[in-house]
Amino acid sequence: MRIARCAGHRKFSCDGLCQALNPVQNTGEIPPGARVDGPSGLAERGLVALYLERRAALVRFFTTRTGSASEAEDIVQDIYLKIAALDAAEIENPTAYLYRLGTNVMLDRVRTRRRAAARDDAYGQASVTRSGGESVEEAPSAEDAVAARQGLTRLLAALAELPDQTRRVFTMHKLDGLSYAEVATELGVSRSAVEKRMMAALRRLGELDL
Amino acid sequence: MTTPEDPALSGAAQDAAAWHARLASDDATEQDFLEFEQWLADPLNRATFDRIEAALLDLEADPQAARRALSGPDAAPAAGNVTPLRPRRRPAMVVGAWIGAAAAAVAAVFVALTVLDPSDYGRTDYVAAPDSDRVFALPDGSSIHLNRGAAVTVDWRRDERRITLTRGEASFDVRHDSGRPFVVQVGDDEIRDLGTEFNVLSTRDALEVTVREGAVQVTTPLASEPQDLQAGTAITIDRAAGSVAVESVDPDAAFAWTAGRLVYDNATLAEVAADIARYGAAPVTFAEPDLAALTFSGVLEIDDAGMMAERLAGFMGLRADVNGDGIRFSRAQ
Repeated sequence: MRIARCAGHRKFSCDGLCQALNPVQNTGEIPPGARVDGPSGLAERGLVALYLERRAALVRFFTTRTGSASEAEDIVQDIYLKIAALDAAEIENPTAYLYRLGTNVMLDRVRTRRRAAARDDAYGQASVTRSGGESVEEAPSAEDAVAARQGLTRLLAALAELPDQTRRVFTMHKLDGLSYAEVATELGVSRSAVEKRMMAALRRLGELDL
Repeated sequence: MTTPEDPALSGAAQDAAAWHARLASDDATEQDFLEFEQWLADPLNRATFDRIEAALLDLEADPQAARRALSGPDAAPAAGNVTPLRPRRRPAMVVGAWIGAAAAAVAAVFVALTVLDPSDYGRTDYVAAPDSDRVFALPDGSSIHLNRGAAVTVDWRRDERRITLTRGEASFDVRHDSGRPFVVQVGDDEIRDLGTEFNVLSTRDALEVTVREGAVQVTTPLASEPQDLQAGTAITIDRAAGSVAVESVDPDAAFAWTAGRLVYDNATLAEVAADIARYGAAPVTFAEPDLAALTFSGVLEIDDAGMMAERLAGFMGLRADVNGDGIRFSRAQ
């Protein structure tokens, strides 16, 4: 399995994996002892083997999803790091699990980028010093800030208008972090009813800005 | 509620919502993802799906506002993961009146008769259990995220917000209030918020402060002047060595624990072992001293200390023996 060597600034996930599994520079082959013969033995082998089989499909999926092949590569690397820490024996539907893991990785990366952008605009700082010591002039855009606030206001207003049960399901699933099954049990409805409610809420979100 | 004029857009929103809801389900299948991938190929579909995702991320920025918007007479109760501060009540304090009786010249007369509102002030202790981290919301909108086993005392005063970190690691998201400084105290060291998001790690021998957003000012007996830290820098105060070091860092690594992970870039096993030891009650040792100098780069999921040690050992081709006396790394035979 080929792992691209990541150069440039410190992105821990990609650089970390390269360094750990790349004792010979730039070839990217995993040394046989590195992962597959972990303490969980058979289970880890199973999930890693599945990952290797599906790797190309995962890269293709996340390339479509993010619009960037290099982003997809980074995401799929991170999936590998995460499954290494896993006891795979309990996972039903392991392939779907890999896709879900990757989706979480993708969203975490988006969150980090958003935070970095927000950090640069925050506190009206006229200049931001980067770790290399260079200063970058960045005046925060007043229009962007206002637009963001108005967008959030519209979003909140849309949520407030949703029917009671829909609001309840959305709160429990998205804000309280309950699974569909847990929400269903809590409210005494079927899982598909929960899914339909989420769909109704998400549809409203999707229709904003149109 | 405005509905879009264009049925194609409306259809895309409906489908995007359906896909989003389907894939968030625990029983989504590989087939679902593959069919979703095909649906995503159409740029309109992808744009609509992205809009839903962006809206959900926007909500994450202000979950309290989201909760308020979503609440109504039938609202679901808030989850137990975020606990509002409930200070112990103190009797109202009256700050006395001073009268400076000087002669003709400058007679300063302070009449400070203030009744402090007991509902906001007081001291409270917060502790995170050894097996879970906790987030606490403070009355001013700031929040404290305690890592496993950490403990703080919050001293909420009219003119100061003082937090004492008695043990462990915490990250702070501070709402700036120039009239009311936010100060974190660890032993003799003080971290003064200048409007920030920062992480504080207190171990037996050292204090490490990493700033993600804004700036803090750190005072320590080991440095002659207060140290101003901007975003993207960290200070390490090593009490054992008596040294203070400031360096540029990627702050997300220091905050990775808040997402349940520890991130390492060329760290020695000794360093990683010291971190793992903080998540368990027992010491971590090496059968041979040269093992401690091996380097590790990667990501460890935070878990029970024994589990973390076993995964690390597996990764490194070593062996970890975990028992009641502690954790021991040795060469795999």
